[in-house]
Amino acid sequence: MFDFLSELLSYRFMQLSLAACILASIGCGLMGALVVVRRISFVAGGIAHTVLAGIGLAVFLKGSPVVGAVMAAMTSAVLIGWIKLRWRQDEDVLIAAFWSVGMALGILFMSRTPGYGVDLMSYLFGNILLITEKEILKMFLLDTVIIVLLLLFYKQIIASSFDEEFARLRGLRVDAIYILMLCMVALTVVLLIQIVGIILVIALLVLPAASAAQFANSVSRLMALSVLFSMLITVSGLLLSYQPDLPSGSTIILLAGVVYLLSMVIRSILLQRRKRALAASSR
Amino acid sequence: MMNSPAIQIENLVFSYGNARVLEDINLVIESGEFFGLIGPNASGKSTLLKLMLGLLEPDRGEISVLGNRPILSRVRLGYVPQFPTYQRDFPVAVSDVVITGRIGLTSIFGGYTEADRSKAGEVMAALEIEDIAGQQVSSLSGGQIQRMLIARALACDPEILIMDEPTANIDIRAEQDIFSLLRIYNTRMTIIIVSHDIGFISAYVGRVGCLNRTMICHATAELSGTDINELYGKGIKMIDHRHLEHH
Repeated sequence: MFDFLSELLSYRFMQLSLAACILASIGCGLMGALVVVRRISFVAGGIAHTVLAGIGLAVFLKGSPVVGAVMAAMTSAVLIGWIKLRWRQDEDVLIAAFWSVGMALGILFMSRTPGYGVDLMSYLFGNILLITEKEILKMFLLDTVIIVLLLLFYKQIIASSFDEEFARLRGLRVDAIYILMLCMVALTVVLLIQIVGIILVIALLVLPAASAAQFANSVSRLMALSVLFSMLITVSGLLLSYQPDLPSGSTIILLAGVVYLLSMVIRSILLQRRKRALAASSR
Repeated sequence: MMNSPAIQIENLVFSYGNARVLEDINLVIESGEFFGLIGPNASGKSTLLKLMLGLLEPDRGEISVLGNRPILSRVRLGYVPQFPTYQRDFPVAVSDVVITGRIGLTSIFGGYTEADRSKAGEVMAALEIEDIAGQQVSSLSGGQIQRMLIARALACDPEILIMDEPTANIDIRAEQDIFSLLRIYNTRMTIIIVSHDIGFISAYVGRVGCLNRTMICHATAELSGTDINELYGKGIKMIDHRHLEHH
């Protein structure tokens, strides 16, 4: 087992893939926690699917797919937030529109890209083993931006998520904060697409945080625990998928689902125990 | 000492859609007053508070708070809503909620300061909720929630404290405690309080506004039965009723 691991870790592509998992998990845990407490996982899904439009356009114009992804993610985050707040549209309908129109645009651009063997599948389902050092550097930058924004505006983001009316009364521009948060989610989505692809991104964003939420009693602890869960899930998913040659993205997501299920079971066992202990001590 | 009154309302009219809720309201509340606002259900009490806070805009008329538009003055106010407006299952402890009252007064970037923490501790002590400071908001009782919301409003160091039925979920003894506490805070700030319990608040407040679409004001000393009849539309009677006996 250890021989297998040490051999695996000696490969350059494996080192890079593991680094990608760790870097993605940082953004994933931090923003996943906020997505879960604010219940905006489908907004994140909408943003993720719009990313394909950006990647398609970038490929068509022979630019960098990551840059295209970031631009598309940010644009859709701002538009979804702004249209919702300005025209009071149902978020639900907006998300459906962005979700499918974004994908349609992306596929259209790719089909029009001449002589380029665009691997649509690797954008949709991820292909972590092909990650390059340049992309690792970009992931590092995305993480840095997310962390700096969180450090600066943590209390405003938490206060306006917890009680919007009160935050407004304290003079906060809660609409601007909401859009800022969606932009941070957009950056996170781009990070995670490198690992599991567009289709599976919501699961990776939400499941580790939802698992952590069973045990955390503050948002900061929730964030820390989500980062940890996310690292465990992505790294072990990657290692598990390697030998039997399974698709790594799907393995990671299945593992995330199992962890979520287990965390719910463990929590309910813990709650029952505590109840029994309380009953025993009061007797 | 102060040149502009705490609240000044002139010829204010407000409707929700076609339903006229407030009609020709004229009201001046001087700074330092302890002002009670009473009236039957759906008489527009909460709406009037929301107009003072700038959460709603009047259809017609003027409203000025501390000499300015409500939206510009709102950071100088503290507000206790009738119903909690927060997300119930949010993973957050009582002390973390109380300290959010410091937003708008503390630094924009980064976390809360030591001064914010000591202010939050001070108001939690005043409301006797230090023992639940670390407790999750989702596990609180109605009375604990209300104490937390009052503490959060006091943490704002407000010049005007605006409260909407702040003691609805609290038993009578605790209610008296809270009103005695408010009387102390009243030496530092204007207090405006909505209640449906005329008898109780008249012992504490200096002046009462009776609201039922329009407004009549009284010093508490001269509040009489006729006024109350006028306000509620009919005399308040004691109703003779029998309890069904169980067999």
